[in-house]
Amino acid sequence: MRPNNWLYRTVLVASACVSSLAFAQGTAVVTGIVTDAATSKPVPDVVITATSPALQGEEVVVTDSSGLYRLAQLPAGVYTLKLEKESFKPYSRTDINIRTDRTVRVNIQLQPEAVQGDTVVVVGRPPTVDIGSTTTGINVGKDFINNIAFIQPNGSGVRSFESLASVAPQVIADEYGFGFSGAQSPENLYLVDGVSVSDPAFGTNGAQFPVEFVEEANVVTGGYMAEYGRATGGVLNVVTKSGSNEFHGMVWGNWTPGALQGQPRAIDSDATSVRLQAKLLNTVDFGAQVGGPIIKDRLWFFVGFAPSFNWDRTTRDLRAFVTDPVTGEETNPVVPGSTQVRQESQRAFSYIAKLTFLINADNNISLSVVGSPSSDTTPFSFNERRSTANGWKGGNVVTTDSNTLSVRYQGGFLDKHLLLDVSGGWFRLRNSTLPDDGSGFNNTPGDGTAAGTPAVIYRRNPRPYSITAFETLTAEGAAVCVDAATCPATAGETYTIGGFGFLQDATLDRLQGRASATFLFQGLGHHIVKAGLDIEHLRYDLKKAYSGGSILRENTAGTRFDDYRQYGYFTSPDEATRQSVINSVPTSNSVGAYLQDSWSIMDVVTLNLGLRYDNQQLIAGDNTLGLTLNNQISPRVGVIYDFTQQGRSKLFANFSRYYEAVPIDIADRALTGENQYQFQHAVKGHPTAQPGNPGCDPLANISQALNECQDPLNTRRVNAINGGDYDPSAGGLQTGAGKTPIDPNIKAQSSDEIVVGGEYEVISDGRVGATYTRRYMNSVIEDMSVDEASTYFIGNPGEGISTAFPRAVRDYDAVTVYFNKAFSDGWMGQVSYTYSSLRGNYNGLFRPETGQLDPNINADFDLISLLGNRTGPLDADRNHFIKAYASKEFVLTPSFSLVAGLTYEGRSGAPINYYGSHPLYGPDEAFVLPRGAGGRLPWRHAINAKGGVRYKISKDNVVEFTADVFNMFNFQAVTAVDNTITSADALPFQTNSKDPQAAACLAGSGQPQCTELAFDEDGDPVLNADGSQAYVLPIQGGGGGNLTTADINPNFKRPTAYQAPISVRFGIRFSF
Amino acid sequence: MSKNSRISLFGLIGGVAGFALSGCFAAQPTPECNVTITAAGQGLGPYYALLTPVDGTGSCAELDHMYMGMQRFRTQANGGAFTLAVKPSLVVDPYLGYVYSADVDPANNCVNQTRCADCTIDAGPGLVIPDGGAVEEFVQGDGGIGGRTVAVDGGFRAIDRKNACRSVDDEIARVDATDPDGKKLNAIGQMPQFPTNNACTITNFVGGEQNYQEEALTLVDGSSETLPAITYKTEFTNFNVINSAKVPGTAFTTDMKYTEGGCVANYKVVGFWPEIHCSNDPSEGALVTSEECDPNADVDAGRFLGSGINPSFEPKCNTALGVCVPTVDVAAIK
Repeated sequence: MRPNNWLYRTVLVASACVSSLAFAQGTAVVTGIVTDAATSKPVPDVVITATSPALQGEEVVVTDSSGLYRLAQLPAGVYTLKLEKESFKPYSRTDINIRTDRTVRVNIQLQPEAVQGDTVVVVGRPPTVDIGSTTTGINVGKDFINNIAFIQPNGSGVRSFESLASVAPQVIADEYGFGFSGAQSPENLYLVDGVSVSDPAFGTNGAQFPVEFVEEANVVTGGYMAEYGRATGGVLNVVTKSGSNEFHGMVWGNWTPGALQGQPRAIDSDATSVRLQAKLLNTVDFGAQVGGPIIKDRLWFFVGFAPSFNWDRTTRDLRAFVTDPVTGEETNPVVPGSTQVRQESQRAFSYIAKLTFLINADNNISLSVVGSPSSDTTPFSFNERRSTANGWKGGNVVTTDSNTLSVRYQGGFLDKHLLLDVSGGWFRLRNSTLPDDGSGFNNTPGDGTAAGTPAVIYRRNPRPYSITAFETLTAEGAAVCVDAATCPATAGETYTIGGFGFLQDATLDRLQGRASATFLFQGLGHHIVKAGLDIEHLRYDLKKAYSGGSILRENTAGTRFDDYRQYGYFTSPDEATRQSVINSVPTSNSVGAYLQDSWSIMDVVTLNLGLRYDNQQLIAGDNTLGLTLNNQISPRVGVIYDFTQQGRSKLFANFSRYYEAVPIDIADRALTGENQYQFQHAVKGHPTAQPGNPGCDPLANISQALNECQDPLNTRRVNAINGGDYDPSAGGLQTGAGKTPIDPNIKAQSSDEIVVGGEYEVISDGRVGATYTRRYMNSVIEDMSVDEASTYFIGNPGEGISTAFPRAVRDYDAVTVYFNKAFSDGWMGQVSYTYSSLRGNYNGLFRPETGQLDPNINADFDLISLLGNRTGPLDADRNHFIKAYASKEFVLTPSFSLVAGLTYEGRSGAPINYYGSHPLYGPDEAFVLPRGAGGRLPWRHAINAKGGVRYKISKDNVVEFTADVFNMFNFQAVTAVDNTITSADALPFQTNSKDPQAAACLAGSGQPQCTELAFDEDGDPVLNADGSQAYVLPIQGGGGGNLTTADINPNFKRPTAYQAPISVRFGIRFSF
Repeated sequence: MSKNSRISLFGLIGGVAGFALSGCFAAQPTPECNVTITAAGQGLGPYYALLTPVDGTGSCAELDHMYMGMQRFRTQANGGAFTLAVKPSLVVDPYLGYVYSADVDPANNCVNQTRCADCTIDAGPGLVIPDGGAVEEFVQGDGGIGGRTVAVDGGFRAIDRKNACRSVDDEIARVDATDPDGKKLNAIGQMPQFPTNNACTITNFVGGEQNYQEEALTLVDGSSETLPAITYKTEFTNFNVINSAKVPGTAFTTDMKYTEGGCVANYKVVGFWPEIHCSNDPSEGALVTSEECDPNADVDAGRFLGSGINPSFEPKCNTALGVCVPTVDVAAIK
């Protein structure tokens, strides 16, 4: 360290740029060495000035004694570097493309004045290889967004930024977003202008706004440094647009007409007459944005507003199950007069506003707000609120408001050898699901509103109800629906009547503070040391209630109603206190600190060393400590070697440990505890109903259903002295669990990653590369029960007090080869192929099998008996994944051009499983055969195309018409099949079976199917106890034995979902 | 940077550092005191308690086990101290204690049988024995005692104490006229919010008794018997529910004074949950390893589920009782 030199240079720079107002806002870096072209020796004290439309003013640095310069904290953009030094010719280099979070090397040779000739010839473009880090992933900028058809609108019709992640290799769409490198979407870190916008409760992305607001997105799939933490997946780092010294803006509109969408393939169920078919009507979005200077080189603004709308139409009809008495043929005619149509609408109003303010040459501050209030309305008049479980329930308004506020200060000191970056952020998400009649938490039972009336679930089966028990049909319809066999309503499905059911209103806050100091110095090469603090406070204000105070559910025998869901607690035997509304406010505090050094050893090899410390405390809703995750120490070690030493290549290797930030849902669900209780009530008309307990009939008077059912006369209260019951509350049952205990030695959840790879720039702006990624889990946090679901605790499977459980395993191995050509010379291309394997018994923070998203308290590891056969290819395992994107601009005249973009995405299919019922956990919870034994779904191919016409009205005024065609060949691949082999309780069939047929069955889809009938050695059929022929697959159906014909789900392996059909989107854009 | 902003920045950093330091050393929260849910209607049976006599003579001092239902009650929605109700079979079902002569129950083929499991039991009028013993029906029936109608919860439970044998339709429902709702059957004590050294000590028990008046009884075979007035009473001291992440309230230890009329005895009690039946063949040994007791499933052996007993109890089969019992000191499990 030579502090006297800094002082000298500070003075020098101060004198050199007296008139320049320079400071930047961003995370990109340009570095390089300036050498003397004549001697090849480094040149110190060269004044380097960077300019860019993305930059306020100029950025000035001076090379050090080794000729090295470094321009840090740059916003992404296209830059020009000017070099000046006495006795050397002035030098200028243009078109340096700099992307978010990337470090590019631009080495420069200066010609001494003494050398003849006055221009310096620059051959080729500046390199684009990121030589500063081992990060894998991709940057997606405006060129890509504008020229490629890949962004599908989300549920609110917003073409949101999250879609940008989809184009990176090793990224796979999952139920809640995009999973990176074998991890799931809730494991990612989502950053907007440096502020985390992950949903505090569930970890998924919580924000949305149109891609038009995005300057650039950095999709980081692995290999990231210590400054990024609290994610076991990847990082989606989005930088929004800013103003500049010139006024620029854009107006746009997009329309996806439902009329041009292919017909989705219908999916029928045999369990109910009700059939639903959804069809898109229209998706429309439009918007305007403008940015420019308020005070030139001092204060910039950027504002935008973009409403979006989506309308769907759902058709509901009833089908009869009719068997021709003569031919025995079964048909499913639509019941006359039963067709109903409903329209649903989603809308969102996205906005952005940003101010960038330069305090002085070395200090700036920016302030931005971005958000998107949205709602999803499913209208239904209250007296029609009769539904089945499969999606027809309506009358609700789902509100999702996300708002992000960020303030950021950046400053440079000591001749920019010390850089400070301090930011604060507030992300607020409101998520509510409430009735559309305006009723809510303040409504009282019996007042006739949707919130004041209980929901009642009918599910009698066998002896199912006919649809006519609930719905009035036309005379023609009634003539068809003669009995429950013809028009079943509850043959395996449920039919719900009454009030709204579950009401919830959540406000989630994420307050963040980050500070980092970057310090540059020399010592056996150059060091860039960064130290930072990262603090975060989460708050989950959740209000929840059941409409009318309870959900009543019929038992399958049809003999009673239970208070299926009801908040409250017992104060003494059989004496309950109802809680009509639960309002719990769990919180979480996290502190992190990191220290990292990017050390360019002798300026040949770069060694990135980092250490990160994190600590998280989850506070339960009663304001007591719920869970503390101490001492999360994440080492990060990477090495990068640029064998060209010109920034055109790199070989790299990296090891990282990543810790999970536990989403706060666990603090609500498990650490706070939820009080629920139930009683049982007699049903009117049932033989057991007597004068003393007449029974209740919710169908007759739904608004009084609760009063009637919960009347003490109709409530089962076992007489305490009947000699059979030792329960202190003999009639009532306390169902809500208390706080879940924590293993005192619990460890935080983490995974390790090893990445090796190489990259080489083969053509200007075009790189080829290959990477190998390996990831595996260390400790995993889950809730478990050692006593078969009676008591639970939270711990690490396979460790601590949970050694009886197998460890949670998720092993990811992937090789990716890719070619990336940034947009230049009128074209761009990006092609990748990934071979990957994802195996284990742990999918991550949600369960793809059931959709359950309860991070760290999913049902996966609840019981040891659930875990048989769970190891195998995981749901997100796709062995082959090809992504190819290309676009070209055909310039016809100086003002007129055509744009064509083409996308191909092809991937092999997901594994298929064999699910049976678990005796305690119910349907689809037992893996009858090892995970993935059912073979795989077919490949899915999609080809999208974009065509556009661009007309340049003037230099800065461009109008463009586009048409995007998604799935242009209308491929209809099966994307999901029914994995339920049986709904009977099933034994996980062990792989060590000696039975050759069973072994063949286990060998997978290419072999004889497990549902084939079994024969013994003599070729005679193997019979079950009841005389039926047994299947190869052994099932423990109560008393053991094999599956019978009646046990096999006839729908097994039949499609349950298809690829989305062709759709077309038209767009218009005017930019100025 | 102004002086003020510098101060606030340092303040923030100081606050963060303070939190970080406290965070580094924070221990996991102690689990709240709790017991497992016992709910016959959900197939969740009562605790099973092993009784070791300390003193006393007579029939009341010869007991080797009892059942006990337990439930925790709140005084407020969140936090706070709790109350705990325990309902011992000794007061709920004192007639379990009667040794019936075999000929009391000829209809149920219990002649010369020593265990209920060996009897054939038929459902009586108004009673339902559902498959698997799960209670599904909402039943009212005639208990047939002294002409009174009492509610009978449909269901069947093997009754096995001192090798006695009855079926449900023989159950004798007596009523304490001073406590018709059976409130006093529950002994209710104060339970702290958090355990000390893994134990939640329950204090100030009230209740836990049954007072029968003299009663004339007609048995199912038509014979008569007069039941004397009698009081059954349990009193608990040093009642500790074991509470940790490893044993979340599924075991307890206590001292119990048991009064049965004029007979008084003191016991050491170790209770645990759940009750799992196993071999009752003492020729196999007094305490034997048994697959019925094994907390782990063994799919190869056709056992889909484990026994449901906490593995840290290291359960084995007590062949004298035919029940899986802990072989370790449950209070010492760390």
